[in-house]
Amino acid sequence: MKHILLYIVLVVAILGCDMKKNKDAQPSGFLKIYNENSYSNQYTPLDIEQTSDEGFLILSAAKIETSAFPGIYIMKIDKDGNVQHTQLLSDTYVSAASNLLRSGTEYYFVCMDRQNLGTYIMSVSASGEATESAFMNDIQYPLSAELNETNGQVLIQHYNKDDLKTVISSVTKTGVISATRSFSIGSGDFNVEQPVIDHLTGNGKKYPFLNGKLSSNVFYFNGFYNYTLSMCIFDFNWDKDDKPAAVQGYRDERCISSVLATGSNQIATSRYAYGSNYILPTATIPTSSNMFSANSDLNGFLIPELVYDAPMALKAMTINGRAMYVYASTTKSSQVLLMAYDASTKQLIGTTNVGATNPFAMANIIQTMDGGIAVLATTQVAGRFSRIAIFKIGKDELGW
Amino acid sequence: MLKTVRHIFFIYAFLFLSLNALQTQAQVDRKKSSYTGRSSTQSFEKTQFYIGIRGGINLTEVHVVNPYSSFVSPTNSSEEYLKSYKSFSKPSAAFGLEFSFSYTKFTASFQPNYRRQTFSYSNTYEWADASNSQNYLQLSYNQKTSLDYIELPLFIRYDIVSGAFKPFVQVGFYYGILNNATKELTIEGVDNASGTSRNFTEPSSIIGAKNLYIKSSIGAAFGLGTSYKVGNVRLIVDATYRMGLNNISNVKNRYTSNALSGVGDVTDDIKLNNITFSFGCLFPMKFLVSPSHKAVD
Repeated sequence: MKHILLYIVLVVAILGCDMKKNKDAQPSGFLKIYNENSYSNQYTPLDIEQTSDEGFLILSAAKIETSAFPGIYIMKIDKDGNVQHTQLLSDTYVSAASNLLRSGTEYYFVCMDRQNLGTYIMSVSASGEATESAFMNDIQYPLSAELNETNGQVLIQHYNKDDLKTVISSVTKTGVISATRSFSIGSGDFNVEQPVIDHLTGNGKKYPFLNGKLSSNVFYFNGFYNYTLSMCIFDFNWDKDDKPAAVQGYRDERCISSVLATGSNQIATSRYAYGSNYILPTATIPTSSNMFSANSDLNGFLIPELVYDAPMALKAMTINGRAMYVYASTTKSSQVLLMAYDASTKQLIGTTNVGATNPFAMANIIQTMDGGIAVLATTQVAGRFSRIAIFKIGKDELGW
Repeated sequence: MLKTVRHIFFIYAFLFLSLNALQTQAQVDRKKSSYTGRSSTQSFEKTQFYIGIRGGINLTEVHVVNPYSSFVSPTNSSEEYLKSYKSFSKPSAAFGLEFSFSYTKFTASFQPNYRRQTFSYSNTYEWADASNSQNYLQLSYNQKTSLDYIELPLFIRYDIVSGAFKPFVQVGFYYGILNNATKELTIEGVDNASGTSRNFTEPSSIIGAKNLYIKSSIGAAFGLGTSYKVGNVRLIVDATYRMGLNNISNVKNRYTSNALSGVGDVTDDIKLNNITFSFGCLFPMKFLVSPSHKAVD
């Protein structure tokens, strides 16, 4: 009998270790879906930033009754995903550009005036309180924004309807325009007016309007130029008549969909062409005035599981000590696909799919302070209510 | 896979060694009875080994330690999205072996068994339009979770009276090893948005859920029953209440390995309580040498 008891104790001791581990364990991540019981409210998340308290600020578009342009909804959550603050901004402010800009401990975004279509720079506190920082009536139809970390100014891509131009303006956070450069869209058979309006209302195709800095004085934008949705490279100091370098697309059907500057003429990027999507962990682009290439020449890895003309987020991250480029997009099976490429070898490290049961669409990704990834997504709760969802994935779970 | 093989190895090793110990003990007793006098014969008659089979049904109740949901209300912080559990509502089966050693009115009983424990719950959500009562949707996600355990319980049983008919009480503990887990999801609802109220039910789907629960389950058990001697065989009927003592949900995998978290479902921290009704048949291993070849009882 003593032997039997001994054996039982032995078996329990060996197999029961997981109880102790489970007691001490913490979830390596979380999924939170911010659901309201409202039948009519609809939210489309745009960007996420982590605050110093390890919580998150989320910028979203919200359907409003007073305008075809979407309103703006700010949410602050804590590190476990619990809601701390929400704010639906006045319907004066609409159509936020899809970047939440981080400048030290301050956060900004750019949006449009509902009636006169001018541009606001909005400041957001770490607790999620949004206030107007500047208004620029001369900058209309803001399409994308990025922070120039060198001088702390905001680079805004906007559309000049009257002159049919794409314009890049460098603006202080108080609204002083310090530099501007215009690029002719032209008036060919491809009319950009309606696509721009559809992009801003969210009722049509969302275009990958992007802008940023490649190197000290060299900037880029991905927008309409010379009848096409192209990536253009320029210097504010070039002569007025100097044309930009360009990676040309074809109309709005073949274009660059994400850009990460990795060198003076090197980028990690992605592109779509007539519905197909391609990943390019490295690509060389022209940077001298009036130099051109076609984005179809960039080739890249075909990713057939992605949706037609897929939106793409691309960030440089260091996960488990390894520098990598992480791409995120939406699959045809309505999941978010993460793909990691080694920053040195440009080889695929791994992929992860998140989301199940209800459809999910990728909005953006960031690396979290604990070395994991937060994925911001739109989900259709009950198949019909557009809601904000966040996946926080631990670095161990990624296995990269 | 390696862990499963290791578990099976330990179980078989344990059963083999247990049987071996019982057999050795029985042989020693038999030899002793052959060579000792009357007092030894009396001692021999006080003990018995039984090996038997048993099976039955069980009903499970969930004790929620901490509730969780992947849904969060940004507008109503008091909205918790709690699950609604149904206690003791889904019968499941268990079957196994019994190895018992009796000494007068006390019996130590080891009852390894394979058991399924099933419980159900539902998440109900509503969406309504404040400005238009026609716009209304209610959805219920009904989930049936089935957990298959290889269970190793040990009981001490006390016979209240002696004789052919022996009512007893028993207390003990158990250790369960999770072998499989599945969830069956059925979605039903009322859609009032199309101009008229429409009830609907979507086809069920079954999803693997083994990653959502840890391997181990331990607990205390107590129960009552009776045995009845028919010839040399003892028939046994009992009811046992099992009280889970550990959280069986896998904390680490709560959100990330859950295919249903997209519809708000995240496993709560839970302990399982269970009532098992069993019927068994025990075969004695020790017999008196007599013309009737009568078992010691």
